[in-house]
Amino acid sequence: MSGEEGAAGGKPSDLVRVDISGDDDFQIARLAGEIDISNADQVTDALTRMPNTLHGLIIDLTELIYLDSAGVRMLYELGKRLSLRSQSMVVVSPAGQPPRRVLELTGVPERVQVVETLAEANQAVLRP
Amino acid sequence: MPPDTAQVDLESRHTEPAGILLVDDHRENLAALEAVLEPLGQRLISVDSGEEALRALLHQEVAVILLDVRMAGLDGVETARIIRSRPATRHIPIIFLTALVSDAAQIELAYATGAVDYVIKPFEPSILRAKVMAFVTLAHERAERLRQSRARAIAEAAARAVRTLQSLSDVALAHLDLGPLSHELLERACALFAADGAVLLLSDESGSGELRPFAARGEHLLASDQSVVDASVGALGGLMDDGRAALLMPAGPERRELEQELPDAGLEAFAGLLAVPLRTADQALGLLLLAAVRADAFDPADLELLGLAADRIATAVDHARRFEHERQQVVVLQSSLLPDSLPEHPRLELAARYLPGQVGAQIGGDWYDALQLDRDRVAVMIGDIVGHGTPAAARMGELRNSLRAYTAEGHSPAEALRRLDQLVASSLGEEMIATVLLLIADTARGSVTVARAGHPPALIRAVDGEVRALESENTLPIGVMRGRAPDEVTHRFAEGETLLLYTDGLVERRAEPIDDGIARLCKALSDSPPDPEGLSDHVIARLLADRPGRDDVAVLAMRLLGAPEGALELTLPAVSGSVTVARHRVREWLHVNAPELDRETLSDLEVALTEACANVVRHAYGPADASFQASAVREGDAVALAIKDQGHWRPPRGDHGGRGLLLMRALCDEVQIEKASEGTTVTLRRRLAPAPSAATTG
Repeated sequence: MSGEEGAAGGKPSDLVRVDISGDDDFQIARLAGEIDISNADQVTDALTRMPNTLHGLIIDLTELIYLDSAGVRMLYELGKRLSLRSQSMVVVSPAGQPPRRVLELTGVPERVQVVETLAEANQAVLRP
Repeated sequence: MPPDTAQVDLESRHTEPAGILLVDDHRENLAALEAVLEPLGQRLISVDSGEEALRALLHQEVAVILLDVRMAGLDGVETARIIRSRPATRHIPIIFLTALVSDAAQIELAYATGAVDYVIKPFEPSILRAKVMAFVTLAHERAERLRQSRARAIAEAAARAVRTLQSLSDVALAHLDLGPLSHELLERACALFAADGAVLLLSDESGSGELRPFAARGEHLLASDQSVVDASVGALGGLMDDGRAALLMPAGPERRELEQELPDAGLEAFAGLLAVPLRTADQALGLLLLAAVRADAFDPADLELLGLAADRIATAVDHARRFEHERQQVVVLQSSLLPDSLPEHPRLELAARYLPGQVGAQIGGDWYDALQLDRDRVAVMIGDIVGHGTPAAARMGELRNSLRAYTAEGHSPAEALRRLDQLVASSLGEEMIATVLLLIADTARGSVTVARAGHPPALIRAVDGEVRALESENTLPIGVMRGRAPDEVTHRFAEGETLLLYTDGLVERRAEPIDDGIARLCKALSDSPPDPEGLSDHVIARLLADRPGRDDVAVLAMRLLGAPEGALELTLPAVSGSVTVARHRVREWLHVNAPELDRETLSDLEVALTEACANVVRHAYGPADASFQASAVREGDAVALAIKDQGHWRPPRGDHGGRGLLLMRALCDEVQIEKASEGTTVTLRRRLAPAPSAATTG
């Protein structure tokens, strides 16, 4: 529904960069830039194109400078899909950064595992 | 209460013969006495017993009594004792008549009973005449003294009454507000009639014939009963129709009826009651009741004076009502001529006050106005027309509109005033004089250009509280400039400074140079809050607190706000990509206009704005092309973002709409959502200082 207007405001790739790395078991998605209503669906599409064998996904927001309720919704939906398939998901969002504030205000850490660093995420993703 | 005038004849002199009472049980003795005393020319009353003597004294004025000691029945000594015991006759001299010198015991008794003299029979006619005449003369003198003292008392009472009546008129001149006036009138009416209390009932001004208790004086008497009473029937109706002062007897039917008609007035505590309708030549104004605890406090002799007092009270009340009526009209007219609202400029904060005059017809000449000329310039003006009442208020309207037009056409302050003077001189009437101050503030240059026509100078309060006057020369009032433009001066007007325009009612006091008043105002300004609303209230409170009877006052204050180059205004298509554009443009604008923002506050504002824009894109419109507006403006040490659409919101689907609003509320100090038929405006405000607590929410 929210993607019905398409990308009329500009190409999402200009706004956000998605780098995915890792192996068939664990993958890390680094999001850099900004996520809002105009590109959240594209980011979701990119992140759900994962191997079916995947055990866990780390979403690293360390380099993300803007996140709002569109990004929060994206994380919830992603988390729901992965958990249906018993795949774990951990979000990296350092304290003091703007995305972390939005996550806290919308209660994300109560439903999705949110950690401060990639090292913590690597540990956490092994123990769903 | 004045003494009863009917009891004293101011014209009476010694001419009236005195009564001489002759008492003897022998007719021949009476005849002999009559023969001896006849030549005195007084009124002789002869009786032949003590009983007859006492009866005669009940009805007649007597100057002296000649009393035989030995009489059958009630003898002389006993008769004298009774005469002495009665207050009305105690003072009358008694001369005893006795037959024997040796009757010493009798004589002693006679003196003991209060006789003043005795005569031994047979008497020497000339001696008897002389003694009697001496007492007649004494009686005459006593009567004269009594007459004089009564006359003096009457004269003094009359003088007092005249003074008090006069004072009723004085009150009317001193008080023009009906409230204080009526209390003063009641107090004086009570003093005049030695009343313990008074109630004033006033008729309904619509002419419905209803009376309403308006004021009361004295314990137990209440005017708090605000219920209206019908004055066309009953005891009240009778009093009003009769039109004259009336003394209401304590137990009389009229009195009882009146108490029932005014159940809460407290009249039952008073035995004495006077009532008088208040009338002017053509209408009934009300009713005055005077009450006294004692039943005999008032008597019919008070009614005439009460009628005179009522005339004066009616005049005073009528005067006050007319004044109040005119004052109301002028206040309404004046208010309708003053601007409804002041211009809203992002960098200028304005406030104005108009206080109608309180005394006499001192109202209706002051005005102020303000208009935006272009993006950077706002003109403010203030003036005072010489003259008061409705005509002045109406002329004020003409003057204000003309000056507004000249200023809007682009004329400089001096030129606009010159044109106004020409207009007044040529068409609005020669006798019209007004003082005007016109000032144009330029926010881009940080300056004000001002010209004055006989008006006191505007003042500027600097950020540190220092006050300076915007002096300029050559300031003849409008109406007498004769084509010569006043000087025009440009002054610095810096950010954070507040400008004050005022009319002389704020600073002028009788018998004091106006410069003293301006100095007082400067002092009040220097410790005033800087914001125009607070500053206006502060100077009014400081300068007018102890001025109950003042003239019209108008003030206008304007502050130049710090920083930015104006607001950001965006109109964007209602598509999701626009939220990104809006965020980026606001981010750039904030970098320039709120450079002190920390990263977190900046991010908070971006999120709040984006959420509001996203809500519009998601909910406000159907599939057809539509747009929305986003604006950002600096409001002192706060930023306000407004997101406006022209759509009709669909109820939010899913939970993200609620999450957006939750974020806006958490990240801003104020979220205002105004839904109207033409669309919705969401306004977000955030102070640039410390962030609101970032508490997590469930």
